[in-house]
Amino acid sequence: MAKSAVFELNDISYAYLPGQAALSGVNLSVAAGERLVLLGPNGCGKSTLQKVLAGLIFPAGRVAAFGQDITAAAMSDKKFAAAFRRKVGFVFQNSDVQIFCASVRDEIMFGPLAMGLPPDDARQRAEETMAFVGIGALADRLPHHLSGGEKKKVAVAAVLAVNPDVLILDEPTNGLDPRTQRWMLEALAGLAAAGKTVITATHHLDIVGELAERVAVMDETHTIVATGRPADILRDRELLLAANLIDERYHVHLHGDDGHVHIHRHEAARGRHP
Amino acid sequence: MTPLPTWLATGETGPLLTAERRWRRADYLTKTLADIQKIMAEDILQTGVAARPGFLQALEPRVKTVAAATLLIAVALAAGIPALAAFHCLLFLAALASGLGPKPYLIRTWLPALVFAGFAVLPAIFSWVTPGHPVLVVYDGADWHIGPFALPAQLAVTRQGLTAAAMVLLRAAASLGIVALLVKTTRWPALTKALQALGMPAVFVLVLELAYRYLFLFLLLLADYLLGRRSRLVGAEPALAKLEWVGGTLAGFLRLAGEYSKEIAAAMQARGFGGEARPAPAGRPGVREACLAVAVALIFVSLVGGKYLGQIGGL
Repeated sequence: MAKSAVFELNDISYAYLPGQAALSGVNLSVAAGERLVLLGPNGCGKSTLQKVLAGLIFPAGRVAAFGQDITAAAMSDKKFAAAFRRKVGFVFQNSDVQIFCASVRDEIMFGPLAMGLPPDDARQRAEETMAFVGIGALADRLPHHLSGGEKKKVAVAAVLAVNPDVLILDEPTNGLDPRTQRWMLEALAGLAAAGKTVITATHHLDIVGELAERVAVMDETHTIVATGRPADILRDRELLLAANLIDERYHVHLHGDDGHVHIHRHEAARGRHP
Repeated sequence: MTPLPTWLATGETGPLLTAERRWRRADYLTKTLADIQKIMAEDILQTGVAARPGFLQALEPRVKTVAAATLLIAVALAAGIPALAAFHCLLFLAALASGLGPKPYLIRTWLPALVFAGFAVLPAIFSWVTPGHPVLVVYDGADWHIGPFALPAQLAVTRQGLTAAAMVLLRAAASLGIVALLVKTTRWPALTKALQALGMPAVFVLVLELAYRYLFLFLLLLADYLLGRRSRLVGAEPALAKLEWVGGTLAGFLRLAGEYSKEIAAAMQARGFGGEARPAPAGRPGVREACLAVAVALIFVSLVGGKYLGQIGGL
């Protein structure tokens, strides 16, 4: 049976400033429980598209989530907006912008308390979330005293504590050390296995195979130019070059469900890849 | 890795409820985001106007800056309403010739002049403040008292009051027009370099340039903070929580500004900056600039001359 669509986007366009398109004619459908990666170079509109999905900005075109139109008017209904945000959690690229409480524990309790959980339940939930994310020792620290990786974990924990159905993450592995990066990939895989829809934006090809079951490639025209399975996308050297995701010397290793693929420049030049 | 908590491994939310189909007032997050976007759009527009060919854009920035300063002095000393009105016509024509557009120019000059200067000079039109020949009588022959104080028997708008108010308004609007034309038709780096070439301390110029650069960085960051807040509003937001967030965000920005300033100073030192002033490269004034100087001198004399030259002649 086909999975129901969580998001349906039709002909989406958005410009932050007049004449400077951030999104142009984007069409996208995301199924419930899907692991989707938005893959594209810097400035192609991945983050903007994620903000559209998260109901933070409102573009021209139609955006539907869970079968309902997401418009500025709809989101001005505070009850509807709160219900939508319970279902859709967004982890920003810059963790600082979404961490605003006085301590890590307060930060993670903010969502559960806002949802109306009793304080004891909210505290219990925060403790369990911190244990899952591995930041129990940071509970009483001030957020601005944390390292970049710790802040990222706090931001993820703060969103997870609300238990959203959809997780949207903007460049979740950027600036993380290898161990934290590995933790992030495994945590997202675990959440996806539990049925969460996980939508990740990245330009790092080496994590796409692990993060995605479907990839949407965006390029500098601010639209989606291809969608497909990670292995198919990563093998399409012409597409990756045209989208400015690799250069001529790039060498790809693909891990994950689709086996292990290498592309070497000298092999590609002789037409022997993959 | 620690296993997922049970509650996290299950969906907790039911179907999304239906939104009420009516518009509500924008909240503080929406309004602030819209304001930030407006400021950024205005800056893009301003940069575009300053970079495109035009009458004032073609002038050397130092000469233009000196001319603007001279005209500001002339406007402050101007003696008559007809001369000021004529000068306004010249400013308007210069704005049109520089591609500013009539509406943006008039809004930028007359709106603040009317709102701020107009409000301040409003009492001056009445006989209580500026006695003189009445042109509109509000009341006459009244015998009103406020406690032990008797109000004047007449309240009227006087010709002298209107003249004084008109002078103030015309001067304010002309000053705003001069500054608007200078700023709108000169790219910011060229303007700061001109100020430096004209003797403004290099450190002050540097601070101006950095402030302009980092103002926009902080605006973008603030926009992300607002979206970050919005993304986590999963329930009703009490008024106190709003205030706490605003206060916390301001404190966070102050801390961030402090950290940034240290980093920027270190980056400048790493690139060899030791706080010393370096002369800014300057263009060479030509025929156009000479014509401007003559025009400014003529305008100066026209605005000021009748009053002060007459006094000098009387000596």
